[in-house]
Amino acid sequence: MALNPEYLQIVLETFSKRLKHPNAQMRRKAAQCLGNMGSESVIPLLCQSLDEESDIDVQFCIMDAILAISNLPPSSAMPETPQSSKYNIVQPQTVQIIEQGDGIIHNYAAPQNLAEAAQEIQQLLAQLSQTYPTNTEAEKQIFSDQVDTEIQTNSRLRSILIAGGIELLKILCPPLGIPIEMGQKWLETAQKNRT
Amino acid sequence: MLQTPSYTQIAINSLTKKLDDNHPEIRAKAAETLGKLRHETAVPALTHHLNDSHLNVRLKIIQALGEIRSETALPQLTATLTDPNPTIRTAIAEALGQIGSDRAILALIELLTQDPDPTVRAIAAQSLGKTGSESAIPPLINALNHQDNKIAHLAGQSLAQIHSEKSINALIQAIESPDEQIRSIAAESLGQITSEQTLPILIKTVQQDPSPQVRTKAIESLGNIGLEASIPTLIKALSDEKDSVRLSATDAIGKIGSQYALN
Repeated sequence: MALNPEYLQIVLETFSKRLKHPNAQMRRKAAQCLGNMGSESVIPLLCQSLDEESDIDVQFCIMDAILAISNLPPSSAMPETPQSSKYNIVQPQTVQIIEQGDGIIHNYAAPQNLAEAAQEIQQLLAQLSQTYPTNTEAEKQIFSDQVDTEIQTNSRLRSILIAGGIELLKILCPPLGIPIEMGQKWLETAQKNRT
Repeated sequence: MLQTPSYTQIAINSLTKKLDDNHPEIRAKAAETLGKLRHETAVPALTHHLNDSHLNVRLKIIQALGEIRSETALPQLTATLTDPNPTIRTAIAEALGQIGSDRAILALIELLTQDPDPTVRAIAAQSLGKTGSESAIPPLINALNHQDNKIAHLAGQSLAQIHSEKSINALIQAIESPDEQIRSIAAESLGQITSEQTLPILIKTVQQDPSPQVRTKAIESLGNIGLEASIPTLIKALSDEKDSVRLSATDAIGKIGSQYALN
């Protein structure tokens, strides 16, 4: 993964907060994601969470995360240089999206930064996931369809998604256990319905 | 390995605390994780919990000590060999093989020759092979004579795995043994060694051994070694009087042929 270091920090903080979430499933996912990201700066936090955690499953996930981070080969522990992508995010405040199809440059008003964008959507997703759990594949599909419906009616949500693009999906999807490809459908819906 | 040494210590302390958890699952998981971290500083805490009330936790602790390959854990590990449960002693035999020091080898030789449980003795034979140590060769040669086929078999494999002149010579001698089982094991084990030395011996065995079982094993070994030079012998073996031998010759030729076809 080649995230800009600034964003990496934001993502780490976002996941770290979820380690204290009242929902055990959320804590479990947060631990898994932190383990997958492999950044050793979260080790003290993971250990503290392990000390305080009462749920057995979550404890398992935290231990796996500690192990995953510890046993990474040193070179790949941290991404060094962010790679350029199709969506060139110039500054956190203004987002320029160059569509390959029409060659027209669209500028979208973006929220303050990616972290705020992520948080705003995460609150919404967390509410939705209370009603629509994401444990099985079928449940994930139902959940994803619900988000899709929400996107069609919520212009704010659309603009945040379009502005954040795929990087935002990379933050949003893993904690819910939803594949990025499923999230890409949301992005497509947002682009189709943009006003 | 973490770049920040203090983080490693924090992680080990946190996990070590979990060795006292009320849930045996958590204790087992903590032991397993500590093992995979492979850090020597976890050893005292792990050995301290070797007498955990739960079998699975004890097993995970023994496995962890093996993974860490810590020589310091040896006194406690060998002391635990008095455990009446053979599963525990088997796990210790595996851990000793991973540690592989001189003292671990001595303990393994003792297990191989004296443990009442056949599985423990078999795993001891296997672990001695993993140590790759020449001092394991004499007891392994003795174990080739063992009436328990599994132990004799693993002893042969271990001799091949040690892969020194002495251990290969021991197998070459064993292929001349009057005992059919020993010859069969030797013929099979030599198949793991690709050396100029072993090829003529296996070829001779295919041509001359009176036992169809031994001839079959030698043919399979020639197939595993996969050298073109064995093809004429294998083609002759296609007219062996026993159909089991003929069948294995067909397989071996196919194996060698397809290897050459692919290259």
